[in-house]
Amino acid sequence: MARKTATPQLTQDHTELIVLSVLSEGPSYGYSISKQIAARSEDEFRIGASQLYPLLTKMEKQGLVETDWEEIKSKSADPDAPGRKRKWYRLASKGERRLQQRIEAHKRFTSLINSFIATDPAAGAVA
Amino acid sequence: MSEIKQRTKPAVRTSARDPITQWLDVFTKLLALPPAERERIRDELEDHLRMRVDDLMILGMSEPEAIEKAVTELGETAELAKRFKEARTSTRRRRLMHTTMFAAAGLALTVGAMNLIPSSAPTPGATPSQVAGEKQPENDESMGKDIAPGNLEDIFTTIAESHGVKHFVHWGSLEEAGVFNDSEVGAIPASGLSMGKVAIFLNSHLGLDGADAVTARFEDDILEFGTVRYFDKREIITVDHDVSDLVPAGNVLEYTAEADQLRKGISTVVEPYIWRGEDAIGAIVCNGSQLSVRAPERVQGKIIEYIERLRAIQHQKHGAAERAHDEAIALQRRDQEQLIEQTHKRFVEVSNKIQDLEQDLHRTNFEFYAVKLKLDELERRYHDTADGEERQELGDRLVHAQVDHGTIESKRSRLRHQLDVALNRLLELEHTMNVLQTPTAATTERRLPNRSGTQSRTAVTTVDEQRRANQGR
Repeated sequence: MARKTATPQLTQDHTELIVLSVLSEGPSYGYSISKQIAARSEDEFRIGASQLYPLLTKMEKQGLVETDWEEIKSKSADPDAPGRKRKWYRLASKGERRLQQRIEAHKRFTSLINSFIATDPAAGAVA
Repeated sequence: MSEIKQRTKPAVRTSARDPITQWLDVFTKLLALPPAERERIRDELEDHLRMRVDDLMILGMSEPEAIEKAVTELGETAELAKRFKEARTSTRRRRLMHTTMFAAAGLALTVGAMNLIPSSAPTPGATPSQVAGEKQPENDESMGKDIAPGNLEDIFTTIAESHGVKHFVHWGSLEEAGVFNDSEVGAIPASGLSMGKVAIFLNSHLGLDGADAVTARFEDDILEFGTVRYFDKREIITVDHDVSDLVPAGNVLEYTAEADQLRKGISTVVEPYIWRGEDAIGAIVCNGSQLSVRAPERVQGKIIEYIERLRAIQHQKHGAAERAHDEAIALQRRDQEQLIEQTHKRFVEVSNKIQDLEQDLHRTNFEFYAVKLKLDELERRYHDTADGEERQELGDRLVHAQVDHGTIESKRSRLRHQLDVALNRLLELEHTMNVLQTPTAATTERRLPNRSGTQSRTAVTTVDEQRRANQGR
């Protein structure tokens, strides 16, 4: 029977990296971003709305993302009535730079951790 | 992003006051942000909630279940509002807001308030690049230098300049609190201290606390200083709470005892100064099961927390009361069953006793009639004989027979009495068992043991018949 490993805990930096990474693939909106993260991590990472939306707000204030609004019209609704509004996010150039910084930092961090767990000569390989 | 405009989507169920709209109304009021920004956050969260509800309903949930789950996933309302505010607050604003939080919460809560701000300390294992690569705005929340003694106006100027912003002082509010632009303030060892701690020194020097404490707001790139009371008046909002689970439904505009208790509880526990005195700025109105609270924005979250705490306490009390009720019923059932068992046992004993008494009475009756026959015979012979010696002997035997007759008659009477007593006791026991076995509200589901019921009903018939038979003897 395979032993189940614990789900890694995301730091705020990791969360930011993941969101930026999702947006680097194209514009998206909050609910879609959270579903993409859950799907791509095989449901291991769940970034709740209470965490995601404030983070997106912060990223917008910092100029990492640009936003645009879409009006969602119901087919059956009155065509003159206002529709629901959806906020779309797109990675800004500053966000692309931040993503690269986060990736570099993460690689460096992982490399440092690996330097501790790959030096056992008896094991001969990274555990 | 023009290519993503005007998409269409299947119809979404909305109504003017559906649960999502109600939740968004409360949430929006708790967002201490400019109205336009509030509306944008509301729109985004509404889109999220309605999409989530649609997804959950596709998975098989009913609409009320889906709405409840979607809203629950967002977490505690006041906490979410605070997160949005913190996320929007810029570096400089966040630093300055620490002062606000200090003044509003008071000395004892300052540390707690500071802890609410997202930590910027590097996490264990963070790389040098993570620590040094990007300056975290939250790190810089301390004053860069000490503040020299001076008048209050100078102090405000120093604080504003140290953060590179313009400032404005609402002197009227400070004068009401008893401090003026020329009020002297001692030295504040501000270097390296957080703004919250600097504010502690400032209010301590000025002798201000509570509603009179100095606080600050940062709006439109201007740092405003004033008292807590002043900003509270400026930031009044009204929030409606559904308290139907805490206050029994009453007539609209009618105060129930529970509603009054809730109103008093809030006004006593949550920022008492807001509700009392001639300068009261808050109001609590309970219409039926709707509680309308007019209070500063910063206080509304505390009121929600208070109501939620009451709900938790009531839930606990309700659970404890239910458990006590169940235990009482179980105990009552155990006692009742024991009593029925004991009564039944006694019933059987008395029945057996009656059988013994009946047999004894039957034998005694036989002896009685035998002695009576013998007595009649002796009397007849005594009167018929002419022989003196025989007459003497018959006379002696007659006396003995009369004594025997009397003894047996006494025994018969005693047995009849004992039988009557036993039969009465049996009827009492029968009645007791009928009462004990009658289903009550607490023991409705309980069924009578067939054994006792059948036997006791049979016994009653037998007792009545026996009583009649016994009386006829």
